[in-house]
Amino acid sequence: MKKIIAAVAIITCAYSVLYAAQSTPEPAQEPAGSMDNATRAGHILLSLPGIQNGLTRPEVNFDHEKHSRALGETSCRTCHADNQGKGLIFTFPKNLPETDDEEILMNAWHNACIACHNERSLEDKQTGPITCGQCHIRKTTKAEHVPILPPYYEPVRDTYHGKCLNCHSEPMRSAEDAPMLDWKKFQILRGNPPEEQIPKAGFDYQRHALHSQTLDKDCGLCHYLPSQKQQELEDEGLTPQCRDWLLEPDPEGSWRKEDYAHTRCVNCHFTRTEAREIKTGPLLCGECHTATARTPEQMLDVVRSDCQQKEKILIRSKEITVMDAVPFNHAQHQLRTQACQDCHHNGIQPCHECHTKTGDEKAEFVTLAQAFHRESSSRSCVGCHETQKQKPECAGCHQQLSAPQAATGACATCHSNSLEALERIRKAAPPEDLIAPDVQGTWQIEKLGEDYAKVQFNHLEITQALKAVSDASPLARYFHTNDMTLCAGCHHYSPLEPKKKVPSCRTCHDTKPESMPGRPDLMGAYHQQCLGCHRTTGAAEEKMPQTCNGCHAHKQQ
Amino acid sequence: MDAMHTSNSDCMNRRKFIKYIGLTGAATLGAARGAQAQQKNPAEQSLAVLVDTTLCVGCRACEQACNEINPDLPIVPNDFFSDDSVFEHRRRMNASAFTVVNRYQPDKKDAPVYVKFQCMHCLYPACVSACLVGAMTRDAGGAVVYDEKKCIGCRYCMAACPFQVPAYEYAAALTPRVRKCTFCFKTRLIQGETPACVSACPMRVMTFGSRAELIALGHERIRKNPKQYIPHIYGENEAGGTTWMYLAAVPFEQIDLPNLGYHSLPGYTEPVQHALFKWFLPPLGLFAALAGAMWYNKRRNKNNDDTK
Repeated sequence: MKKIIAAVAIITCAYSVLYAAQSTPEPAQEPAGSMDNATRAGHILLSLPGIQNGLTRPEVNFDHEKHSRALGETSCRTCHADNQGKGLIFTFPKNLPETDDEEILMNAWHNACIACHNERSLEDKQTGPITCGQCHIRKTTKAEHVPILPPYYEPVRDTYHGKCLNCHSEPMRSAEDAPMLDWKKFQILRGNPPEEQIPKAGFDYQRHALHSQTLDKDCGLCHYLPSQKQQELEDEGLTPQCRDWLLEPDPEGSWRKEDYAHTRCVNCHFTRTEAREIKTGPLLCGECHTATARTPEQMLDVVRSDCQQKEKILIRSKEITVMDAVPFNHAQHQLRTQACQDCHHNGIQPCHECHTKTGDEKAEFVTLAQAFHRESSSRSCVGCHETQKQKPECAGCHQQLSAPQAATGACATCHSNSLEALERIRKAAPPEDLIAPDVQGTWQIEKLGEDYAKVQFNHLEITQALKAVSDASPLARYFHTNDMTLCAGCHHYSPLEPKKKVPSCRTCHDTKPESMPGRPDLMGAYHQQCLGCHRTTGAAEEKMPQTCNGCHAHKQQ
Repeated sequence: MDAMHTSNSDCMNRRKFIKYIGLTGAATLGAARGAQAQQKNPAEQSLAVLVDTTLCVGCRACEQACNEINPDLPIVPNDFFSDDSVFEHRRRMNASAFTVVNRYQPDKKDAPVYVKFQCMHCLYPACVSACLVGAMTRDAGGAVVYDEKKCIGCRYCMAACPFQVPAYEYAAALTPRVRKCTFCFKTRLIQGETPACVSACPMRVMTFGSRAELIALGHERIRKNPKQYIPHIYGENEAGGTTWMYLAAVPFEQIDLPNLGYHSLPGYTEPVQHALFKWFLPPLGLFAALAGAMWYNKRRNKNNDDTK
């Protein structure tokens, strides 16, 4: 018996040691194989614009990260030209011909890549591909072609058509074309996964603070002063403040033209690294392109840049005195943005400097009122708040409501003229106090169809869930001004008062569809409202069902 | 010398022949314009359906209702209509289904778009125009109906349809029929009821009514929710107008509703075809011209012989 126990113990030990030995190398292997952000950022699709349709071979999926890692971080000079001592020019290849001739351009690229690969292979170093197909990799493989067959076609009986691709040529190259083709043209069902976008560089308050600290608050390294302002400051003997500095807007970079961020950021990092300074920034793609968006909680730890901005202000215009001033919590908004430029343009000047009452050329004739209210802009108050309402948890109700800012008295929610309004942290009233007692619990929605059983509808539970969503968001807490606001998502158009029954849906939504053209009948109204919210919220099936049987059992089954 | 003469006269003949043909063609085109202008406007009294694809949840109740109302469609297993796996393929209408719902994912981030397809019941149906024997007819109410007793199985309607709707019973070797949506014309419309799919839809994706009213309703919805819809009613003017019209949140090409232009398809072919045979005049003219040419040549040759 002891022997058996000993044997079992030994085997278990051996197993665990073996298992440990097997599992330890895994984390080391992972970075190579997994598609983390860094690797994804490194993939840059190289293609000359304008000749995609004429290309005989597919575009090259150039992995910048792989090249930088293989050649070493400071190897930028291998591919990029020197800019007369002012760092590098980040275009490729080194002497890019100034021409639009596609063949010359193509040759320039081919020469640069292949020459280097060749050279390294002669020196017996690790190198890249030399033949065409190794770089120009066709992304759709033959296995991905799944034709839709006509219903009368029986593949088993068909001995003639062995392989589709023996006769059919590939009818398309891009995934977008795929759904448009039918079996006659040889349909492709599963195309390429869509191109992954290069993640945004996550320059935000935190990184700004880091740069500011490291560079001893030398704002001029990245920002600039307009010459007129510089003169003014010199005359008065003042030092420039945060407000005076401007930031060059980042133009879209292309393969031919450099963009602002790479010229400035990467060059600065590169020159400092080359000069062997200790404190320097990253050079690899994925180290900047992290697409990080810090949550308000994370932002609390970030040092707020000191630009003598007030925490809370009353926004008022000297020109327009009709409307009351708007209390604005600058600190709270700063927690919910990534950088000043989310609202401000290329500096942090007050809005009215450029946006005037009647519109000015400086602000592209966007008036002051429009600067705050334009729905289509992500910089304006209304525009940004509108996008907040598109969030899944909010859209369920808000898509049912027609623009609430059009309601009478809606303006006064913001234009309250009192800073105390910002202190108003009102929570939604408990639903028990709002819903009439006889409709609080679970009840069955009337039977409308033949095939399905009645729906068990829990009024209180749903309202409590809405309250939880509303209470969790400071924006919702501020703007859901009325106790009954949360009820309006479902009970649209009807007068709402606490503890008072609302008109039934049947009042407007009849059971006969023909009786009200353009308005859904009762069944349609229920389904459109319930499913409309459930679908936009995208919650789990158990919580917010999106299938028929999720709400009512099928009688036949 | 003789050969040269004949060739010369041949050449003249050909030139003249082409000239005559040209004249006849011009006459035909003139007649064609007149023919088109005389056509009545079929949109006036037409019944129609407006499909709001933004509402559809892909429950396939319409497919089930269609299958039940058409007793000659094959009986399918009970759970077929709750099987989501059909959405993995893009399906087309066929001999066993007059309507299909397909799923599209134009944007990976957004919710999928479900689109119901069936016969569009065009105002100027190409299938009716193409049918040799009048088996396809368009009812004044808007339904394009098929009469299997007249059909000879040429399948021109299938080739003509821009939406690839009519299907053929290839499996029925002896009595094959062309199969397509009937608009529930004989089963429900005549009794004043709405089509089976329309009344079965739990989300009320489809609205049934007079075409003019529905167009107004569609524009009203677009105006009220400009962010939600592409500002266009597909079918209001496409291929001369259809009675089944669509609203969508994504470009119509992405949900397999092809860009056909606003000109009706028979509008291209019919004026030429009909005018060619109008009162049999152009053919008579052609034969007269040919007879004239024959007579002229004969006389000319005779004169030539006489001079020799």
